[in-house]
Amino acid sequence: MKKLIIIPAYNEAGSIQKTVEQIKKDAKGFDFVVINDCSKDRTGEICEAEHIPVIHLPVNLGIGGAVQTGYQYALWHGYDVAVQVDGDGQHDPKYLEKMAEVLEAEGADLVIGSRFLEKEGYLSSGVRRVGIRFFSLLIRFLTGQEITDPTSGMRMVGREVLESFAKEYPTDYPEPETVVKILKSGKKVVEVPVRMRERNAGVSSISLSRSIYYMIKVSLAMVIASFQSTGER
Amino acid sequence: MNIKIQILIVVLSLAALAALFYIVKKEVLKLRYALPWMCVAVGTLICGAFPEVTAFLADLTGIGMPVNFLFLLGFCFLLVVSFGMTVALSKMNERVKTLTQELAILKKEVKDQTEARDAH
Repeated sequence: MKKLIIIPAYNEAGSIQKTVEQIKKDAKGFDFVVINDCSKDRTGEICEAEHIPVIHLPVNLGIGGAVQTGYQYALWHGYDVAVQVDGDGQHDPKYLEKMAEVLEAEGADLVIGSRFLEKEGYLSSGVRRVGIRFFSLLIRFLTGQEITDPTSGMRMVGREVLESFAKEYPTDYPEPETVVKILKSGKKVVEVPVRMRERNAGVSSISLSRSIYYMIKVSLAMVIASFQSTGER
Repeated sequence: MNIKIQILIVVLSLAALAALFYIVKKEVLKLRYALPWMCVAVGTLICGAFPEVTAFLADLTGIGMPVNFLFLLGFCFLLVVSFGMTVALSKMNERVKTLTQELAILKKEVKDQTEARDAH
């Protein structure tokens, strides 16, 4: 099974090297590629200097566009499995082998690393947690399935979902609505407990003031997604 | 406002909202670009269903008839949307320019590398 780690990075010059070193140490069965989302700092230069496989986007696309680029790269190179690990060091690569095992053993299409199954490690700020809880409830209402961490970026996909995401992926806050879409397509989604960490360095790209707009927009998108399924045109 | 025009406004607003949801579902328009229009549909729905709101706002702004207030609102909204689109267009052109330049330089790189390889 060919497995790829997609590392989206925007202005992560302070953490990217450390993140990649951790991946090299704890996730040896995986290939990896950094998606440099037109960073304004030295993220790109550092990757080149350290011979880290990297794709430089000529224009900034945001997390959705960057990760989608990774999915397209995965298809291009015949990968069976792709997983997202953020460039800021919040995701711990030591869980990746376990996630891959679960993907295969349970025939899952999407495996989500959830912070809230065992509630250990860094659990994000209080306000964000309220939002996450709201999305969980909305997903349960729309699909009947319990997803404890719908905004987690640590997601591993199998071939079918990989092809679907490479073709169509939302540009901002993609996680909750794609989970709904995947579930509504009859795919199997499994969660695995993980611990996340606070970012190594730098600042999160989502400011609190934009969060209200995102809450409304993402909720609306999730409702619409519940009427869609993968392959909808 | 009489009851006939109220019903008309409410029905059209609901139809517009439904059409917008359908368009986004069919992925003809992305949600973030449909949102301002959805807000308008909701706004006119409220004004149609609760004419007291329109009357109150019309009084506040010194406009004689509530319907005229709706016209003014609609006009202002269109101005804002037009301007927003102009800004989005401007940004998009910048991005297209960057892509064009990078693509052109890449083409030269590929050509140079092919020629260097063939010269052996």
